[in-house]
Amino acid sequence: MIEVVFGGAELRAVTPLLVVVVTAMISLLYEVFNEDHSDPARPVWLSLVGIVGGIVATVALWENGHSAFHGTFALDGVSAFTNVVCLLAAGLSLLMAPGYLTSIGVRAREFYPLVLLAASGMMVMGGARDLIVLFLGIEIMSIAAYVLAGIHRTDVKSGEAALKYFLLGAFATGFLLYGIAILYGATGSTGYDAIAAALPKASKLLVLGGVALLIVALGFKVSAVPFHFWAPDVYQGAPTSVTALMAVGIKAAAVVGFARLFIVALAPLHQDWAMVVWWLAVLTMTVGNVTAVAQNNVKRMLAYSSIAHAGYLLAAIVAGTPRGGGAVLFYLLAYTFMNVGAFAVVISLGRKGEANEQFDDYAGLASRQPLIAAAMVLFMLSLTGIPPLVGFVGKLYLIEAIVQAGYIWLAVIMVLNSAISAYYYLRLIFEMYMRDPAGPASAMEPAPLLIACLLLATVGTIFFGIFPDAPLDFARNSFLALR
Amino acid sequence: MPTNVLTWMIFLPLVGAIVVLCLPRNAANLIRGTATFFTIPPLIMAVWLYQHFDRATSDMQFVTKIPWIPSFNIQYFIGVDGISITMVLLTALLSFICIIASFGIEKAMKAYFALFLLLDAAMMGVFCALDFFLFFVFWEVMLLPMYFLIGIWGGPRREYAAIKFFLYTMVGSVLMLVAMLALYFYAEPHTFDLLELASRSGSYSTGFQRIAWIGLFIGFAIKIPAFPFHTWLPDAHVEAPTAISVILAGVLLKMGTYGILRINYPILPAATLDFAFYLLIALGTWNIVYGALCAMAQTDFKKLIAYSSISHMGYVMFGMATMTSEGINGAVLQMFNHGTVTAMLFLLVGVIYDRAHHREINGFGGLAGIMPFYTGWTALAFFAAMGLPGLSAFISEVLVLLGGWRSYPALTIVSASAVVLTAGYMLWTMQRIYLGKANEKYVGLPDINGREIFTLVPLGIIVVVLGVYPRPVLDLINASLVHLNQVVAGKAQVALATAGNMVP
Repeated sequence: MIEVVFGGAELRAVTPLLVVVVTAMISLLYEVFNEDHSDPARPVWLSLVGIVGGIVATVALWENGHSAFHGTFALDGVSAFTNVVCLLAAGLSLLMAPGYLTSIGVRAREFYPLVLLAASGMMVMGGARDLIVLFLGIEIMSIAAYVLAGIHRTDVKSGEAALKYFLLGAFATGFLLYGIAILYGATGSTGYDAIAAALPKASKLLVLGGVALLIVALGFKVSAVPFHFWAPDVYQGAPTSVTALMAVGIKAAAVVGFARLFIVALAPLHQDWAMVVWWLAVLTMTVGNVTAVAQNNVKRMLAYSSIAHAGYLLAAIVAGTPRGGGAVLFYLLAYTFMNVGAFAVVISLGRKGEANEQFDDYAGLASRQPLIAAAMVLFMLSLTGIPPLVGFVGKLYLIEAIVQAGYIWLAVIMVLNSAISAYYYLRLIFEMYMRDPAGPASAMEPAPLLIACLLLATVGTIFFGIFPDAPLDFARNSFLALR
Repeated sequence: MPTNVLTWMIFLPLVGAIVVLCLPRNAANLIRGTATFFTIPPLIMAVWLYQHFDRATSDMQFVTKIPWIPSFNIQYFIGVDGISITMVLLTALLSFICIIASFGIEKAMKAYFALFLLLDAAMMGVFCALDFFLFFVFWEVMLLPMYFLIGIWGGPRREYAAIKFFLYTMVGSVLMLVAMLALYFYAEPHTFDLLELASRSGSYSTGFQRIAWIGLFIGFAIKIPAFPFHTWLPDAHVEAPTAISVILAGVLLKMGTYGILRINYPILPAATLDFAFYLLIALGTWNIVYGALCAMAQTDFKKLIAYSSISHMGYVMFGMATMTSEGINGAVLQMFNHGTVTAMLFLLVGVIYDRAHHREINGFGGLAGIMPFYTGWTALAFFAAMGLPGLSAFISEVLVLLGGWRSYPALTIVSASAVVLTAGYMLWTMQRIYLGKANEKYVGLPDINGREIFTLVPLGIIVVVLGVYPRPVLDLINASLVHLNQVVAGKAQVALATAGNMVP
């Protein structure tokens, strides 16, 4: 019954994906036949070509209102923005990887194509206009991510992280499929537009049951409280460059998937789901922030902080408006720069055999490595939301969307939360600048690629803080065009 | 120069900060010299501003307006009126003085001076900004250098003091952020332009005004600091290095009252009238009395001055709340006067701390015989702080109380009697530190030196001149304040009338 169409629109939609996936395949094959393993940085270059190619193809081909494959997939503004954010996150994590993987003793060169594959899954999620496509995207992304989390095979924690992530991810998938099935039963469709059209006549009980299951499943992916328990262990256990990818890229894709589903397909039910997501957002940001205060490990602190940020993002989804969606997109861009930057700093402190991830390890960093410490200050302040950095502008747009939709209390809770977050971000700054180093630590030069990554993150954090206009307009218009 | 003068005043220190960062680490004198150099042009421009400021109008002057983030209708919009020009003058002067007072800093001095100049730029920006968003950006940017300046160069409990300062201010400013956005959306078309917002104030419902007012007020009250948000101040002051205490008390505290006058008063007049009585006047009186009582109980010299600041800022709140032209003029004059007087006090505490390395009031005695010039300067500052006639603070406190007498006689009596408390703790401190039997330990202490006197002289001159002839400042501020007073009284009635009409 379904006629297979593969015309111009379809080709257009999948070209960026094809670029990334094909590069991943080439990279995989190349590694099979390549016997020269002397330069650990070499596989990066090929992968970076794929990343840049994906971004270029996205920028060249996107179109507002675009849809393909019978309206199940699109390369519209939202998906273009998501593609760029996710590819950026993947690219930055790739930049951190070579020196770091060598230093922790991971020789697995599948790392690079796996990152690309995960990124392609994220791209599918960003463009999904159909629950089945969303599911496909999540699975493509997650399976690559499970492997990535455990890529440090000799490390017990990495294995634990992978297993935990896999088991809970599998659970979430179950919820997702149940949700999709129930929603399909209620509305007779899996396409977003068709669901939105059918909702008014559908059985409310079934629909709400389906939506509840979807919230649980997507809540797992964005690490919303109370579905967040996997996140700190997985983030801490996984190799740091993978953590960066998970905290930024995977979260971005999941949040966009969440936003598109709820703001577009479930818009008629806004009244019903808004309250649930409201509580989810408030719990997520509060638990994330309060728990982060108590951490002594920087990576774990960043994990809880990323839970808190998921709460901020969910809060903008509560607004249910295109403005909220636009704010979410912009915040994801902001978050990519500042959070990847923070993880890059964490990596730069690692040595062979010692991770140096405790707060104490940062004592006196300012005198040992002034530039890296200064960069970390920027990222921490941006995460706190201090102007004129990008994190502030991003948070401002989130709050703006929330206030505009009339959720004043949510906005107040959110800003008070960001005041709590100031405590633990500042604590790190305090360690770096106001404590004397515990022992004589060797000043090691970070790898050139890592420096490039830090530089990109720093420039993005400052530049988009002062000139946020272009991406913001783009994000906002692309969500407006969805309706 | 004429149109861009404020922009130069804001961004020259910022350029200075970058230049200082590029200097070699060990060139101490070069760093000091460069930092000083970048605070001189703003000072000269401030004098120029003072001469060319049109005293007859309440309009904004020296305005620059450039779109910044068009999609949000955010502008780079700066200008000064009578209220802000006094603060700009004060900031320019104190920044210069404090740079010189910081020459003794040796630990990581490059970073110190760079952060100081950044702080300078942000303070200027706060007082010049006429776009709420811009105001907020400068307000937040100021937080950070302050955090570092206290946290790195502070005393033994600097960690606690710095983070407490940061968190308190952060809570205040995030509430301000929500109120700011609420105002933005309430105005049609949406704008952050403070003048535009004020011109539409008649259309805001009273209920909305009250909520927004409280949000903004908490942000500003933390900065003033008004009871019960004041507890960060003594800690921050005690730990901060001398020059930073001066900036903190001299400029930063004024931002709280300035913000209320600049934002709460004209934009939310109906709520201002409501809360002026319930909140502002009560808190003002309480600040005066409570600050003075706490000051009396202190044994740490610097903490004593810190609490005296809380008490003196109470007069500003009290004056503002009276809604009379004497009161509000007195309040702004008091902001300026307290800035100069308290700056002197903190500089003088710094002098003795540099020599004796402690600040225990009871640990001294008879310093008058050992350091006569120093004691003379301290006497001037103490008398000024007490509000002795002939010195500047007297005029402003009398104006405030005169204004208060017309509206709130009972509270005025309470506030006026606190002057006795002030005299009490000031004289008692004087007696314990400077008079009596000389403490053997400090017999050889050198008297105040040339650099220290140099930082005190301009402040001393201002204190004496304004005490005899306050017109230079009063003329500057009067037109704007009379206008503001009318706006609050007039607009509030309009708002009440429209609110009344809405009830069928």
